[in-house]
Amino acid sequence: MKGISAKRSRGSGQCRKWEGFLFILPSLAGVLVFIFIPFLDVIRRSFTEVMSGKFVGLKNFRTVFSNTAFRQAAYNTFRFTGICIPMLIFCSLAAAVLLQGQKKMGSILKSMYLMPMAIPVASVVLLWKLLFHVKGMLNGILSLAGMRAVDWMNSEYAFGVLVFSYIWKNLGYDVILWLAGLAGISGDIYEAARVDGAGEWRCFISITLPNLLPSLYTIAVLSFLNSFKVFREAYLVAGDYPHSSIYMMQHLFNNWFRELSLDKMAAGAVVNAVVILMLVLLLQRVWEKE
Amino acid sequence: MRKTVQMRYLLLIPLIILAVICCYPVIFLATGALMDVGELTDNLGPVMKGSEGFVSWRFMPLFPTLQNYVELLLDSPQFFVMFWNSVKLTAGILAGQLLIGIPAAWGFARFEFPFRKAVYTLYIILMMMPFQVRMLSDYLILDRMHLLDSHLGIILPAVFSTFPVFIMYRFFRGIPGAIIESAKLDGAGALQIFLHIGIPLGAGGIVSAMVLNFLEYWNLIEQPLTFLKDKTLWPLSLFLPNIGLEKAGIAFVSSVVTLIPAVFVFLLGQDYLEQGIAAAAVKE
Amino acid sequence: MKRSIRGTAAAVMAAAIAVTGINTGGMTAAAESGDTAMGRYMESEIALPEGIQILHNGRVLDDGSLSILAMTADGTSVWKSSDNGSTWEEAFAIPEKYEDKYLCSGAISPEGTVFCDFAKDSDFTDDISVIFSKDGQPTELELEELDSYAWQVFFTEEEKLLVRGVGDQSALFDTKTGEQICNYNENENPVQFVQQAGNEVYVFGTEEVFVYDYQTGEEKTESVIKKEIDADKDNFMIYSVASYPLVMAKGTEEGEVYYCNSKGIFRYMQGGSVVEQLVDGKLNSLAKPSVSLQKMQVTEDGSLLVFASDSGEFKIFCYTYEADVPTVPDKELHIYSLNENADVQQAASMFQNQNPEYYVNLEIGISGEDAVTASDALRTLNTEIMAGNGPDILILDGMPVDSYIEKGVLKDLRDIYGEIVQSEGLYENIAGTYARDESIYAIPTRFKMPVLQGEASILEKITDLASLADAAQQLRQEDTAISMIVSAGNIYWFLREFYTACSPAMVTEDGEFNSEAVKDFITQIKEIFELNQYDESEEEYRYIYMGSTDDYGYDLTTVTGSYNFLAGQCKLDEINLSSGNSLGDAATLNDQENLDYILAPYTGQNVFVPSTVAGISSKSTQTEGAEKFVKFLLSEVPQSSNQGGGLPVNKKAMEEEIPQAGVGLGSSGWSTIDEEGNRVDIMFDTYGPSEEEKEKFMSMVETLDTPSLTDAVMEELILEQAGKCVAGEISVEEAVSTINQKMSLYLAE
Repeated sequence: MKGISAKRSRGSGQCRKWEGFLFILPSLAGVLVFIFIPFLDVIRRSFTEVMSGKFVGLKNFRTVFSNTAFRQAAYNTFRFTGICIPMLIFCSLAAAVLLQGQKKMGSILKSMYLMPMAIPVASVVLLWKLLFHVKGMLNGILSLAGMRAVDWMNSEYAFGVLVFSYIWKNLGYDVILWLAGLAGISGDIYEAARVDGAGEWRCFISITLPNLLPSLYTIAVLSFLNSFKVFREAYLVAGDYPHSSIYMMQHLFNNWFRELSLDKMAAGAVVNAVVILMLVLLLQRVWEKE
Repeated sequence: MRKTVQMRYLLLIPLIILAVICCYPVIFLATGALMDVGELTDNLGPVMKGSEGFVSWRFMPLFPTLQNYVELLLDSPQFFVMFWNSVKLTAGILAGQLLIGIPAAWGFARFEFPFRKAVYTLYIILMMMPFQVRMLSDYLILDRMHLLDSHLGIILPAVFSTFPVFIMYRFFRGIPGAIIESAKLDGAGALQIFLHIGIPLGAGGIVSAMVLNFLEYWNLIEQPLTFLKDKTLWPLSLFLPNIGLEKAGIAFVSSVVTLIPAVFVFLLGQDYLEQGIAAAAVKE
Repeated sequence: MKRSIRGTAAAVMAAAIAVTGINTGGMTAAAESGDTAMGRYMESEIALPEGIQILHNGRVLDDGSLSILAMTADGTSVWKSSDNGSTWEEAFAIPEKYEDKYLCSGAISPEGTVFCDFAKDSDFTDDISVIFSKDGQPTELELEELDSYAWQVFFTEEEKLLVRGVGDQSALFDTKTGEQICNYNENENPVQFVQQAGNEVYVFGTEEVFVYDYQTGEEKTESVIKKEIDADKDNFMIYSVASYPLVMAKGTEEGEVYYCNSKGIFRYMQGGSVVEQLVDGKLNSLAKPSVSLQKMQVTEDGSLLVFASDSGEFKIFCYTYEADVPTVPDKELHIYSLNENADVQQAASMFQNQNPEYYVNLEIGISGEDAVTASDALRTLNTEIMAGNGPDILILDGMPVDSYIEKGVLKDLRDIYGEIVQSEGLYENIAGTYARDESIYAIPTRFKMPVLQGEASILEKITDLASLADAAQQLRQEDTAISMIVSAGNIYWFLREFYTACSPAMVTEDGEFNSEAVKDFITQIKEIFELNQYDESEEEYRYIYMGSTDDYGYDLTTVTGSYNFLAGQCKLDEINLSSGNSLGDAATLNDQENLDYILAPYTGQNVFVPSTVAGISSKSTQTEGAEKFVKFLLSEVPQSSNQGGGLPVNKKAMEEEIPQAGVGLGSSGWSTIDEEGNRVDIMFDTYGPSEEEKEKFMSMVETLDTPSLTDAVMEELILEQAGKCVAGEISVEEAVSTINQKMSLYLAE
């Protein structure tokens, strides 16, 4: 490797390509086998019947789109993502900004924020059960304050509980990433701006935010990814058929799988993937700074 | 940004409240682990058994006991088997991801080759697939390769996860081109640049990816449940049974014990993270 | 500063992890069979003399002959065989002096001396211990400080006797003087049973076994075998007197210990770190639910003898190693059942015995020990089916049968069905439940019949749930003192009893979900349950509406209300008749207390509950074996061996299932305290149903026409909310609206 590149250092374009390829080759090979091929299999199943494998064209897609459970799940998933991610981004950014100046406390606080992520899912579920049950602790506190108990998990509030769970869990990591991003902005720029007479707020809007855009991209994608993981908690607390406000795509897939409706499941998954693809492309276009 | 001293302390308050909310569950688990069955029954009865009233809790157990710890750590051999399984799986996966994922992220970040964008976008999409959907297809592949009912069947697909590639990509992207150019002028080959510049400078990203992934795989539930028939191969995440009151104490303790390595990794990782970021900033 | 803290923490962590590694001792190794998979312990039976009613004990003597202490119609004697059971002769009979006394326990020494412990009189307060020499000369013996009769006896050395008394006492006695040499269980842990092997005495408590040195009585706290035994809680479940979940014996070498339970036979060598499994219970009779173990012995030539009883018939199983038989038969017949099912296990073991060329592998989806839910298990099952690794035979209880049929997962069983109908006769109204057009994809092999028992005059008025509630109201007004109107264990089982009988109404003829019927169900049941009056102390367990692990997987809807009726604590009882015995109970109750029962009248149809529904996977490669097994499941022999899963659908087996009129089925006794604080004893002797009752029952069976709904998802959805409602946590409206919301999601999928 070394020898080749030393000799060919004149024709930089050509060799760079192939070297890059070699770097990603092992990963690519594995991804193809273990992730991409199963994905293709799923696509195949979306066009065929379950047991016989007969080709049925777009029938599964038609079934899926007209399926009310699918629509409900899609609506919920959009709603959840649409509310959670901006909220999480905003809260974590605010916390990061506030944390910036705090040297001693900052370190300790950061560690504390990371705690929720470390707690195993099964334990979180246990906690949520104890907190949000009709006879749980939260209701206990409310009753002490003279308010009526609410069945958190079996009413519209279930959605709120899930949002809370999501933000609680992911806040810490996003704060760390924001802080990393903030630290990357050189102090000189701020000095220069202050010399020009810019105030705190101005600095924030014109210097901080623009420089954080790359971080925002990473955080947005990460948060989006993690929003899917919230299914695990919802499932373990509320079972196969939770309150309709937290009934997500994954619940549906899970149940379809249990009933062996693999054709519908595959079609739903393909639709999912297409939507995600569009979102990702959109994000990439907007963040095209590289 | 400059802040007055008072402002600084004022701003601390919401942050501290936040920290308490985050840490409260850990304290909850820790105190629960020290309670004996009777106290747990009293406290948790309303939810577990349908008794009257609400779940109540004290921060200091009335009768602290190490009973639960003893029962879990000394009397349950399967706990340790599962613990080691978790260690084995997580270590295996992380090692593999380092080996495979770092070069891949480097390749995507610093080289131009045809279809680079397309393949990378593909990576991101594949990252988003929920497990339920892939479950059957994954099973078929693993079956064909005779990897079912073995730890390798969980490790191998996870090693090729595109998630760490995604995280590390960003960090590698952030390395200034100037350094690389000057290294090239000095005659360094692609591999050398990777090993001596890329990895050290991207350390922040690598550690981030590993820390996040540690959690993911330490808590893995669906794959072992589906692909591992043999219960002696199960990891710790599948240990918590349907928790009845008799087992509540154990549930708390096993939560605490499962929690500790994760916290540990976090704390360690945080340090290196900050180091890596600082280093990257300085090199600027 | 921070760095060193982290460093220390790392060191501590590493040390902790290292320490935990030490704690993983004592795991069981899989069956050893060398590099090739050859060699297996094959089961055979040693014949016992004709007419044995009770086998008290037996042993292979030092001289190689077999000696047993058994009771026949002629009385109790000691029998001997020197040709391994082919011929038996009576060595001596128990002398007249002791003939009519109850023999509490007996044991035989290696040389043939026999020890017997008789109860002096029917009170069991005093006992007589007798030692019989080889030719039957009795010598009475006073066992020092034994407060009760000998419950278990081990006679492994000529001069010493290990006796376990009633309660927690176990001690070693000298047979010449009756003096206590040493005792075990000084720390007085509660004892369930005791076993002895070689130099150890194993005292089984409720959750763990305690090991003591045989000679000195000292406790041995570190024991590999103890860890292994403690790990399986089935080793501590006693189901009947004089049989044990686990029996032990010493091996042929010094320090070698064997033990046997339903999972097989295991061997341990003192000083080793591993317990080895030699015999797989599933490949022979050991896994049969009908088999209970009495004793084990290892002979000089290495044969493993297990004394057991199979459905009341006494047997001596002998396991000998055959090196040229494959360890596991090569044709695997994979049966899958979501939950434990003793009837299937019984049939599987029987089939295995008769067809040694197959390896009958019964897989249970949910063990109840871990976090696996029914949905998880089903998903995993589906994955395996789709991948071609699925089972050959499916026991469809709890599974989405209709969905499977629609998707072509099951094979058409029309031919098998026709065959059995021809040869033995099936209740087609039940077995044919899943018939669609010309095909049958699933066959219920058992069923339960929901009936309502009470006074005939009351039953007349009940035609649906509402009239039941009304009748109950009225009864309550008439009798304000009685504790229950309609007998209920707790909310969980109460709901399930009625759900099975009422569920057909919850779906309309067109297959639509009938929300009104569900609302009616919940409202009426709540009303009926609330008419019951419980003491404050009872409220805790009566109001349980979630399933609990204490139920051991028993279906408590099949328990008859005899106690409640006899104690005057209820007026009506809903039960699911599931066996000839429960029919006998109900019939005797009818007779004694002037009661009657009718088919559950709540839906206007004659409802039955299909259970142990069998199907064959369309992807199975062992079609021949699978068909053979399903046919076997429906055939007379396994059908007449009821392990609690329900009444047989095989007509011939049903004839055998119902006990003869007047035949004693056993007695039950309960003690309670009445209002004045006096102790009240209630005895109930049950008998086979009279001809009349039998006729009535048989004709009821013929009229059954409507299966209870078997959709497990719907059942859980409804009963979870119903439970909360009856317990008072939510109102009927809230329960119904939650059910509607969840059902709409379920149906929409």
